[in-house]
Amino acid sequence: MTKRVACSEMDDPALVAAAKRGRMDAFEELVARHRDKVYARAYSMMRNEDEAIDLSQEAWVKGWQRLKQFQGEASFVTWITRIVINLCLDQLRKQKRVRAESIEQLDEELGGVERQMPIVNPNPTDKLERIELRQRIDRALGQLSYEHRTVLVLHEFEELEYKEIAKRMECSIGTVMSRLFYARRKMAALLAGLKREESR
Amino acid sequence: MNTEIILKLQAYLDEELTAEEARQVSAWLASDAEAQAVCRHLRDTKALLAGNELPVKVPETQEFYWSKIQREITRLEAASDHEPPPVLARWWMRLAVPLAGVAVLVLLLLMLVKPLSESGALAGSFHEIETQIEEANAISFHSQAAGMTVVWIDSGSN
Repeated sequence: MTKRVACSEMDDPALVAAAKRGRMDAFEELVARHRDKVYARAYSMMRNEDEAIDLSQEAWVKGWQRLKQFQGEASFVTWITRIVINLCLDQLRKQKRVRAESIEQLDEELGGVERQMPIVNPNPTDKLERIELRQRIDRALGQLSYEHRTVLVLHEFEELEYKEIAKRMECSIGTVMSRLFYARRKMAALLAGLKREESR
Repeated sequence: MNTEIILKLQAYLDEELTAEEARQVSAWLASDAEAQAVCRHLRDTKALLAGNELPVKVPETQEFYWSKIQREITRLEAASDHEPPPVLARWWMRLAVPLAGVAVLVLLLLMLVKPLSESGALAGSFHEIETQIEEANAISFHSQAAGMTVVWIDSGSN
């Protein structure tokens, strides 16, 4: 008689293989292991708890439905995170938060770069507790526009290349580069501002 | 410093340039103080963010969170079991019914024609002449090829 291996003892590829064979308990274990990561990505993009929960759960449902398509090119957690990113982008588009950026607008904005550089340096060597720094970054992220936040999250946290970000955000690589630059500049300014506020 | 150069510096730091472009930027950076300052600023900001995403946890228990996922999976699977066949299959079904009717008709016709060809002494395109009643001088003529039957009756009154 073959003994059914407990899901908690299995690694991710084994759980994925079992889930592909229809074992729901294996999929439940994958959810338990990676739900925080998937939720965190949804939250970082949506900045709304309820939406992040709904979209992360939807990502898991889609993950189950598309499991047979997962061939293991990337890790399972990377794959499921990509699903939630796409769902968040779709949702943001539906909410019409995406503003079409004309070339003229972009040029106008970029024209200000020279005047605005250099900007306040956030000084990463500050003796901040890590958790405090993370909280500041999170607050600053919350103050960015959807476009700037998304490009920053996808590049800095998901480590996607310009080309990949452009594809997902349905824009040009030039737009990604521009948005990324302004996102970084705003982040630096916001972090410096938060620091000044706290020191008063 | 113009926009194009600033974005190129950023791409250099993000390792998005080709090897040749990266070499050019690197050489230029070594001799340009302003570019070095911009580069330092971009690098500091990038370093500040790297690995510093605030860890966030699902504000629900695993059981509650999973129950909604499981319910949705079950609902969708049940729905797909009762789903109508796909468009192509439905189209084929619509075509198949009349085709089946035509096929039955053709089969019936063949069954009707076959016994005639089998019972006759003449196979293929044959003609049959049969006298039904000798006294009455009745003669029938059937042509399989022409698809007609002619019956000629001579009452013998002449």
